[in-house]
Amino acid sequence: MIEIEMPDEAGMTAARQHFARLSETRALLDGGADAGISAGRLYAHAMAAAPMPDAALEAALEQNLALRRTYRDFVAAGAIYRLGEVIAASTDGIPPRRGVGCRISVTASQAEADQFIVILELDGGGGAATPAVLVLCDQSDRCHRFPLPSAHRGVIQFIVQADDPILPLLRDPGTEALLR
Amino acid sequence: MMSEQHLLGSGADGQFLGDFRALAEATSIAGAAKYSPLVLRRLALFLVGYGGGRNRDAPLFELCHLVNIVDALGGDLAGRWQFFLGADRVTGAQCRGELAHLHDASGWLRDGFEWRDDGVAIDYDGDEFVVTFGRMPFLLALYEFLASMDDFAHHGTLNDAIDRMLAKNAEAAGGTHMRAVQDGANGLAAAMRQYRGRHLEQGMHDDAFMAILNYLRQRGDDSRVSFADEDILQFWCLHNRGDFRTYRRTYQRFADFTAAMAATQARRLGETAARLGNDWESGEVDPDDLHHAPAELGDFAAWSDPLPLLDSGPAAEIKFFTGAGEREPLAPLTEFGPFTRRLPLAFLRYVAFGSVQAAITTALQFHPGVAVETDLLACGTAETYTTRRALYEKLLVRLDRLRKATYHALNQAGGAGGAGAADERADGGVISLSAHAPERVFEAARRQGELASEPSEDQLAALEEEAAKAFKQIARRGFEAEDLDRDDRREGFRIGAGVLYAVGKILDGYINDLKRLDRGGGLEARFKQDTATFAVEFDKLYGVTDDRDRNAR
Amino acid sequence: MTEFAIFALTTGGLVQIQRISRERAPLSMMVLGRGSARLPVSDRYDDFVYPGGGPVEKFFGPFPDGGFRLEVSAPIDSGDSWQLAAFMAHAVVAAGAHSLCRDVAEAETILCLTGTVDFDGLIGGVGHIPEKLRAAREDLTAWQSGAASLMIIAPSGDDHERLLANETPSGLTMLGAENVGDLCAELEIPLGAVEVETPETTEAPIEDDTPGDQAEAPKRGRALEWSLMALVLIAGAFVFFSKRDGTAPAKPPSATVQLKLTPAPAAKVPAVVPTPKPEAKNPEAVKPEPAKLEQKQPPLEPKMPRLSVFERHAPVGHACTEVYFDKIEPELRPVPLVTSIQFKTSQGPALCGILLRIELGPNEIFAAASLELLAGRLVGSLRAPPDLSGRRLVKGRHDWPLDLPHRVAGPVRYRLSLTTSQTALRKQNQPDGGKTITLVHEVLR
Repeated sequence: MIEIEMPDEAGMTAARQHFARLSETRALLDGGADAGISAGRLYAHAMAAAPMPDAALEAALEQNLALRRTYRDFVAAGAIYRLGEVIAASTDGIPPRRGVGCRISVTASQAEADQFIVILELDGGGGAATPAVLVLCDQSDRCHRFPLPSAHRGVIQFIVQADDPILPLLRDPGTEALLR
Repeated sequence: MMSEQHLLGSGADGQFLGDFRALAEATSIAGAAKYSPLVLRRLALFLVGYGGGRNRDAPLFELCHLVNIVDALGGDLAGRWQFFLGADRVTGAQCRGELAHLHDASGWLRDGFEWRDDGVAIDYDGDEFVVTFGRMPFLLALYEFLASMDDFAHHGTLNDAIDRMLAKNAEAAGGTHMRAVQDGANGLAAAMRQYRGRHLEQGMHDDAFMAILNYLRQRGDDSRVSFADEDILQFWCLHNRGDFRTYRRTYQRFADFTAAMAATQARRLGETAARLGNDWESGEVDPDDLHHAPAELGDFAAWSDPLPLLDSGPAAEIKFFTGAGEREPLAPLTEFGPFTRRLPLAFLRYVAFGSVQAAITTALQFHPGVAVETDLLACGTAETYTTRRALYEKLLVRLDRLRKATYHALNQAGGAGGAGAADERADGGVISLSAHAPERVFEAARRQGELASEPSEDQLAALEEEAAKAFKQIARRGFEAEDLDRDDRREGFRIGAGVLYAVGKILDGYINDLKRLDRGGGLEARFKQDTATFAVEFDKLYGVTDDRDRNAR
Repeated sequence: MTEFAIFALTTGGLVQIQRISRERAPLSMMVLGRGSARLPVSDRYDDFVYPGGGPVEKFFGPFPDGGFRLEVSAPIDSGDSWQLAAFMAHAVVAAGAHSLCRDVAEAETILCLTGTVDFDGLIGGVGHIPEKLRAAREDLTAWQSGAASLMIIAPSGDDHERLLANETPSGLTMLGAENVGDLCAELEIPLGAVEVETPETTEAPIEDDTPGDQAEAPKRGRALEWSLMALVLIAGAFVFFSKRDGTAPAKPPSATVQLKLTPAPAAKVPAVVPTPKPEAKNPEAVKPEPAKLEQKQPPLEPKMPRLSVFERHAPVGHACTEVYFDKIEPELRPVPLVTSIQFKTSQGPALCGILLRIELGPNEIFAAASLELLAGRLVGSLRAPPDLSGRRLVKGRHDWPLDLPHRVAGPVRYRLSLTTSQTALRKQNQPDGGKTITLVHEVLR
């Protein structure tokens, strides 16, 4: 048996509010809704050199601008190099980009007409770590990741096919390139 | 038209619940929960506007201090995000490790900060504020919620507010600027208020509150109401078409109603409304405070489930309980604590018939359109009350052995020179350890009635021998003799000792309640009677009828 | 001009070097076929061709800005044993006199090589020869019957000995080489084709649609090191005839012209990648001669045919019965010579038999082998393999396995004779111009 002394009106209001908070706490802890994307999950995905596939997160990124901006902020904050500047405009080629201590350029393969070579030259100054991922963020804040091979003699170099998604991104002067 | 909140049975809308679930379901790489249940409970309490003690926004103030600390240790924007969002599994020790790493790398870049054993102290022109390591996991969870909420809509605002605060601190002559911290906290509080305003329907639970109140008023007078086990069952039978559809939810709401009324009463009487709640907010829960007698109404307000204390810090490294066999049956008992002692039969119904109803709703959820099994509707699968009693009696025996083993562990650790030290806080002050020497544990056992008077030396020696034997017999993680000299292991057993005592107190008392109910075969008769009652209600709710589509229910 | 198909012998099988071309990119790359998959071994390949880093630039450079793209038929995951094949592929391309072919069916000469090449052109051992041969066996067997000259080349010394010790398909030529200078000379691949410093000859030695005016590279003589006495004395049991027969193997023409390799579509590849004129005025400074080459003049004595004996031992944990019934491959151990006419006596608890190996080289001759038991007995055909009857033209390697009798004590002693001639042999009589060698070997149980 439980006996309760009835409070006055103010006390009853306080009790009702208290009851609501306890009920809400229980509702939060008990679930009943689909989980959203947490900042930690987004951060882990942004910072990983090779993130695990996360379809829900990627779908949310596609749909949500705020999420994409945050993701881009995370990547940018952790970037070793930032290459925002396009050195020279080009009508048909892909303009090289330069950042502090690094340069990225693309050259057509001499051996295969449908291939291009992406070249990242790093000065390695200040004991900077070698980047493992090239992230290209377009003007709608969609960031695209491209894992990098290891650097050799201060150069990271890889071949892509002409239809590789990296090429239009590098061709677009509005795209920001981040190395991390 | 029914709102989303009504559908979810919560004042919080889907966005709010989803934002919280994002953190609640976050896991480490190894698959463990990123935040402990205790941290999540604290966060939930804060988010609904309850967790801040006297000032419900106080956690935001603490958070700003912690941001200030990270900044003073050289954590730039990337460093701040790494500290607040980069942890795989958030614990007090992990927070301390991260800060120590920053400290080793750069030291304090501004004046006014001091590294302490239990946390970091900040001096604001003579006013000191300490953020303990034990408090930090909750603050990290709070930061992550603020960053994530509303699908990251406020992330930029959060950063701007923090940057402004840090800029003012950096310009301050002494390296710290309290006003800037307050402004920062106020900015976050405003954002939080707006968020609650958008996603938390305040009157959502008023109907439930008033339904219970009106029901009880019919049985009492204007100044006092009372209710017993049968009232909850009767209430459920009358109201199980809406918000009180399940017996478990009805039971929970009566428990919350009691706690809310008790808190109001305590406040009116000038008492601290929620002693443990306040302690929680300072990160200093003393398991010994759990040793209160479950007799006064105030206990309903002060009660806090002790079991989650075993889920974080060094106690989490010791397997005090197995999952399904021990922790699972104990969990509801310790969750409701004194409420179960006052209404023991209502709790038995909660366990036995609540499980049946959960199975029915699960079956309907996964097999819509398929008739519920007759045996389920007739409560043929319900656990009998005597079975539950036997289970709890068996668990009490095991608990006694665990307590003895824990006593031995602490006694051994004490022999190694570590027990009882007032200021040892291996996990950064999650738990106050001020008086958890073996003698204290022993004293607690004595108070519980295991020993009628002060023990003689012979009795003590016999107890120690028994305890050593119990320790050896337990082959669970953490019960390794060779690790008892470790600080963290010692700490874990100290936390565990308090929890085991609190759990034992509830369990022992509840078994006594059941013994009383069982006089003359009372439990058996009660169970048969309740089975018939619940079967009738379940049939009304879930049985197939000609004129109703059961799937619509 | 010879069409070369060049393969690296790896433990994962034969990997063909299909094409070498220049790219306007700083790092040289090893690429899987014509695709875009840059293999992880590319960094080591870059070191191998980079100025100052490896022998390719030293022997064939200087090169214009940019790097090489070397296309291989299969991934090379680890190790450096691909270096000799890569070097020889560069040599073929640089010389301009020959070409690399992607289609093995078009090849006139198939080279399967394994070994490292250091900055001075010395070829280093790499090991794992049995595994590499095992992995290549299927291809080698298939090519053996083809028209192309098939050679397996390994570093002199242990690797070469292990090469010879393996039971590879007959008809293969297996060579040991100590340095790239000798090897290129033996194969008549000019080393350092762009040595003459003229604008016409400084074009990059890459595939090109237009014949160049590249001058013929100076010959260095056919100074292939066969490790003659060293092999005999150290580990060999190789017997060489004093003179090489006069029939030349299928050798590429000596004229050096700029030739097209596997052509890419004209739209895809510029006809010529301009090569800056080398800054170095002293050609010797640009392409120093490997020290070893200068010590190898004049050309070596002929080395074929040769005769060797191997002990056939049961591997550890196995019995000779398993060897006799072909359940397990025996371990082959070469038997050294102790005098000019006698092999060292063989014995051992796991000695199951012997293998007589007759290697005739790449040129067809008439050869007759015979075995005469002087004591004890041997199990197996005591008559020579049919090809070695002296009545037909034969080439390559021929193995003659014999078992020791089971559970019979006492020594076995035999005399082995081999006669070769440019004309058919009758009853092992040595005709005019023919050569005969006779050796004695004893086996103790």
